[in-house]
Amino acid sequence: MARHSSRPVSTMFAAAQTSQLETQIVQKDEEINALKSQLVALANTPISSSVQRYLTADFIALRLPDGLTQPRKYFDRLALDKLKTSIQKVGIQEPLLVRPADDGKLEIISGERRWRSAMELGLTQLPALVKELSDEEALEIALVANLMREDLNLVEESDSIIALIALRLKISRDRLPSILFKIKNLRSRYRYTNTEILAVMTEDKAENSRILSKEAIADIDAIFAEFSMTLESFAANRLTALQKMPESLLEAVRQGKVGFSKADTIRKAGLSEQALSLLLEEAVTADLTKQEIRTKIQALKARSQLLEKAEEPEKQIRDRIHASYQRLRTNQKVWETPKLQKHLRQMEKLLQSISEAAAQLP
Amino acid sequence: MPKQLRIAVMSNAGGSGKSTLTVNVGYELAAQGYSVALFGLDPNGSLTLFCGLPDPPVEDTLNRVFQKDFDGNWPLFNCWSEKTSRVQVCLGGLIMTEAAQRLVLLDRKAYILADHLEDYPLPHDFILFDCPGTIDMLHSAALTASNYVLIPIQPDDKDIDGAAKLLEWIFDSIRTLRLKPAPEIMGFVPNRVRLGDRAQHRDNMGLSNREKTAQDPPSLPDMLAAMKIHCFSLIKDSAEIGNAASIGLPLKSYRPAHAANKNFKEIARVIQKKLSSQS
Repeated sequence: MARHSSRPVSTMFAAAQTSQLETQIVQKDEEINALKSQLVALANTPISSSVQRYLTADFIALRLPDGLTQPRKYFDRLALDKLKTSIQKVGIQEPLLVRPADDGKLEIISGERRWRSAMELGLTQLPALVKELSDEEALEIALVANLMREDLNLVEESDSIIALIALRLKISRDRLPSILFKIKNLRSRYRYTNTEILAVMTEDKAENSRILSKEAIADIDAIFAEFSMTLESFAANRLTALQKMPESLLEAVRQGKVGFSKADTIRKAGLSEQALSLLLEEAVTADLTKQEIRTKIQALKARSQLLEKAEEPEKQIRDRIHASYQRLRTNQKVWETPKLQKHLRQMEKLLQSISEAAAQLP
Repeated sequence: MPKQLRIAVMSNAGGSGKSTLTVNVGYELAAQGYSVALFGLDPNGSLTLFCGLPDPPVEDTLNRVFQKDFDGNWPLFNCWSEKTSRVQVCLGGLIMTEAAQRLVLLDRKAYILADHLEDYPLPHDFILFDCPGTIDMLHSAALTASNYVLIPIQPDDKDIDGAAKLLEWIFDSIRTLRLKPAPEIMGFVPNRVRLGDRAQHRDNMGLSNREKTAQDPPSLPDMLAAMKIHCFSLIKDSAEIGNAASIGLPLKSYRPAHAANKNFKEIARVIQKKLSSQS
């Protein structure tokens, strides 16, 4: 730098940025609450003539820039058919929520399944409420609306909650799990308060210092509470499972082919990739119960243990002993340490008795 | 409800151009056909000077508005009446120090201006509040009554630091005063910028001649972009702007061809857009 300045611009603005974030959090909370009551009202009021109708052809799924994705990725055929039947009987009961796009299309924030059903039924018009929304607001409302409906599968729901928290705290989704784990550990291990947690995480300079404030932690808790969960239970029960679950299982859950807890049972078995995909396929096609899956896993494990025993177990133990001895042989300290003398003599005795037994072999 | 936008011009530094912006942006808005009221909250009374008006008698100042029993009789004066009929001013002056102290005793101290504007609405399309150079009670009153905040800033370290603290104070106040809808930061206006002979200005505006390295701290525009706060085009330091002010004229009528008139127009255009998007 040509000019010396003891306080860079970023330092000057640090406190202002924190305050801005806190204010945004408070404002978002209020927005969400207002929105939730709007969505509830929307769901509860039967369609009146006052709701404007729009051409079905003008609707389109929500389009978001890179990095922001829709919470719902799969549309279950069965559920769609059920919805179609209901729409045929009583029509669309709840208006869609859409935002106007620059190209004149109406992007669907809430109600994509209703729209798909309507298209399949050949309805030409759909009732909708139009609201100007930014990308972030649109995603946030889509997440909240979906979470409120409680018909997302567990992986979609977890993805959505993570996306919602990340969006509100303005941090990347990739970094959020580690932050949640950290808070959970500090709470369950040390019973730390939010102030203490913040102090620990602020010391952790590289990663999380700027992101979290006490308000932010409280806000995370509030989001979980909104969906009747706690940060601790979410981290312990879901995050761990989600992070360890292989992609094939995650996909199966996302597509509604298999329940989350069944998938988790399969994951915990620690099977080889091939065995896992075979078992998953069977679980899906035969619609196995969790108990049946467990029995299958036990059988698989027993078989693989038998196989291991059958395949030259002796050679394996010889190699193992040989390898350990090779390592110890040249390590002078091992032979000189008094504490280890007892073990060494035991080993010598054992070798002697094995040699004696070997001499007796035919 | 009549459509009206109120804009607080704040900076937490002296000499950053609050009154200059108030006067010139106000005049530009009037030139576009809008009616404008300018409020001088600063005890230094610079707005009075910049409008070419004599100091008003104490009973005809904003002090009257800051009384609990204000009767809705706004102390308004026509400004630049030979050139326009659309600009009125409500002047302050030294008495505003007393007004600020008295505010502390009122039940709704921070809300008094907002309350009176609600009870006795003014017909103007825009009201611009020219705030004092340091944060005080009058700032709370102006913030509470405003839809937007405009922040002129001379890009010296000292002034930027002050503006950052002003931002912090604004965001804090939005929460503590529970402002709903909260006023928005319309933008920063880098003003009195001297790129030619001030390295500090060049560095802070991100316009240094040196090659940028990773160690360089972010510039003011970078920082504002990160906070999603708009940064207007910079206004170059110019003696003419001060000269116009000292004879009590807007720059546009004193030096119609002056480059800074474009800057004021740019700001006025953003303000107009906000008004039309309100409806």
